[in-house]
Amino acid sequence: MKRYLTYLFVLLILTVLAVSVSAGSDLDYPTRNINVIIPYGAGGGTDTQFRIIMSKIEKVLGVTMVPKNIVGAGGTIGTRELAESDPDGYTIGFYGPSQVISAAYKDLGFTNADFIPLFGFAETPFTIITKDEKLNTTEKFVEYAKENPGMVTISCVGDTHLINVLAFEQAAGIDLAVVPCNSGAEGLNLVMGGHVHAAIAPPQFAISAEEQGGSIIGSFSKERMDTLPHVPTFYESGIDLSFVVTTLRIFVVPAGTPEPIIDILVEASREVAEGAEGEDIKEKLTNLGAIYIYRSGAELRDYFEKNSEKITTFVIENKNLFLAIER
Amino acid sequence: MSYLGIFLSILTEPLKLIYIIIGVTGGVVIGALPGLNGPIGVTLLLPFTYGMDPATGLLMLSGLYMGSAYGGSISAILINTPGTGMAACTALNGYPLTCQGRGKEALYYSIFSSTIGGFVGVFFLLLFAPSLATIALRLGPPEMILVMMAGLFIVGGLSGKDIFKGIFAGAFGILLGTIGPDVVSGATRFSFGFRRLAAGIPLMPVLIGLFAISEMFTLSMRVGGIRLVDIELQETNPVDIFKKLIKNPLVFKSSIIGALIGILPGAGAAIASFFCYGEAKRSSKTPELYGKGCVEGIIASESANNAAVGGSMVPLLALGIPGSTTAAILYGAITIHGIIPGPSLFVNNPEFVHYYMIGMLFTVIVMFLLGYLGINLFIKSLKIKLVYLIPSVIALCILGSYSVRHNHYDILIAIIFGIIGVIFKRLEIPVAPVLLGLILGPLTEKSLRQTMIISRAAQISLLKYFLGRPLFIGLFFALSLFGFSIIRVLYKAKNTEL
Repeated sequence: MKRYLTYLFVLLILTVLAVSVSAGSDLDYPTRNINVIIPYGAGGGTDTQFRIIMSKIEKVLGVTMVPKNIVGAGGTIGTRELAESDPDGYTIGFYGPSQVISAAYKDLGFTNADFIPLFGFAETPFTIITKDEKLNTTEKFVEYAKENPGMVTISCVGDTHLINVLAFEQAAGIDLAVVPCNSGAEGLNLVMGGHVHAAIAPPQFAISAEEQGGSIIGSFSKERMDTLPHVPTFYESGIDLSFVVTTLRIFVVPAGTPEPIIDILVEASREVAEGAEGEDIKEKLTNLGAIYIYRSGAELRDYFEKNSEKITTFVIENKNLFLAIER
Repeated sequence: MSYLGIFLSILTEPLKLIYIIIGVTGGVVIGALPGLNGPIGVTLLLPFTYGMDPATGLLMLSGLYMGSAYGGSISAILINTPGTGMAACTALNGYPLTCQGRGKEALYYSIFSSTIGGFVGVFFLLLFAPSLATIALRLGPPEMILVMMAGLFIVGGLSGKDIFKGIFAGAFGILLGTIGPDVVSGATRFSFGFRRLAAGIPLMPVLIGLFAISEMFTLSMRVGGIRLVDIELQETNPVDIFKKLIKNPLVFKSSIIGALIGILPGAGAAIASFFCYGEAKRSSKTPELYGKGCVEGIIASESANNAAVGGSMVPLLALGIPGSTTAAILYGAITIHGIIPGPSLFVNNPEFVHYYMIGMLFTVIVMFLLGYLGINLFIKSLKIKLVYLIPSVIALCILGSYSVRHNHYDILIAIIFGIIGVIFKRLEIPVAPVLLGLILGPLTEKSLRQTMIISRAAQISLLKYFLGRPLFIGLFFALSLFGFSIIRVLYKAKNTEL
């Protein structure tokens, strides 16, 4: 009887060893559902884009990706929650330029260093639209604004819009009056109703404005957009912007997440991007007005770091200006 | 294809009809459950529409929106817990009717009014979409201040005997609305150092707390009675009710005002129903009956909120400007198929637009059938014993307040407002004005601040800027008359009571 017990004990030890060896050499991830923290409302731009991408990646990973919309305070409440999550690969989420700006001048309980970028499928530049014919090119707009300092109104939604306007003002040497709005739709309404001179808007709203007799003055991008080939960039028009801030929606993990897990997630995204599903994502994102560009791993980390550095430097240098008309 | 042709073609496509039925049914259920509302339902259903053709997908989602505008009235009438903000006014008269054993009558009035309102809203969409949208565009921030302030006048109409208690409740709502980030500078106001308060007080948990949870608390403190309403239910004849309803011009007036308010950017179905309820009471010969079980109160608010559904689609389709939260989600649902709403939509995708508009009529028809045939089922909820009803409603409330922002802290807000609601009821302070203040306060402030920035940039005084806008002056006089007339009615109502 005692001998059987000894055999059993040995067997038990062997089993435990076998299991621990397999865990050490071959990482078993993911074994359960992955939570994805989206700091904006369900049905909004970020949410829609993330859900489309998640629906493809979960097929590769073989587990469900569960969206958690933790909304509030301009997308900083959910982001803080992500920063405080366990870095075990089972909580991933969104991070973007708006969070970079907020983190640069407010104490929100997170910094850029708390996140590691994984992958992103799109980057969308902003444009400036107007209905006023005397302002419909960059040249006319700047000239008019120089003649009438502080009198040209431009509607903005949130920090990412504002920082582009500030950079534009600085590069062109003009002073605009910023009218804050709650949504891009409201900004479009104000400019098309003739209540403000101009509005900063994503390409999709810019197209709507053009259809209704408005014009797109220019875009905050390095190169012309495929969807709006006739719209010049501000760089082309001689505005030497020190940087541009786009809608860059990327998936991140909390800092401290093990490298092998990061690799698995990045590889899954690459498999999607290079396969037939990538085309489907491209079509859907393009329809939603985003500019498809897949970046991941080291390439994205590098790109994001450089971008964030420029944004942070600008915000810190212009802190006073920024806090005065923060939104 | 003619409108009739499209109508018949939808009728012969069972699959599309089924999608519409799913959407509307989902909407009625979600609307009726306290804590779940239209935007949540639309978001849940959204991913399923990606694979459908755009018109059908959009119809399913709009059907849900339409259904939820009606569904809220069921729980508002039967258990005094409006499932949505837009049904808050329905509870004011619906529940007193239920207590008098006239719940069935109230439900019939609600479904008939919702149906008429729904049709009127869709007709506005069909007939005037592009022209009305262009007019709505001309209402800028200064005009919106007036519209929102006129909405705040309605506090008078929502108050019971004591107008000052109503004003107190409205002011309390406005005060709550000032908590959170400042519209212009982003600086945090009145957070008292609590990080969670820095984001402001969300609407949904406040609604759930003030109406649903406080009602459940009050019920659990009630002595005697094992069911919600222990008196016998009166049977009614729906045909008579319908005849009475269409003879009443109020239903058409409220539907038209509701549709017009729905078209205004930023004003949704909830504001439409508040507005029409206030207007109905103002123009009534017997305003003292409002709040005690007056069917006209149900007619006004229910026809208005369903009419606003069609109305809110006008700026979305015609200008590409979503006028409400739900419309913003629908915007995403259309664009994902590569269809960009706006003036060119009517030129580039006329089949889509016409198909959608005709399909909207079906959502109203389906809603009517569901509501009409379901009444005998809904009324059974009155037979549920309180020991089962109270815990299940509270569980739903907790779930609902969490689900909006996925935030545990919102549950706490709902419970705190549940307690505040009980205290208000004890002191006979009406709770509906709190909701009105919380919705309209921040919108009014934002429009005023925008106007101030614009007038400063134009280097003229605010007054001069106002006077330079003919639309503002016209609206100012119209709304002043409206305001004076409310005060007069209140004065009259007070005298009759004495």
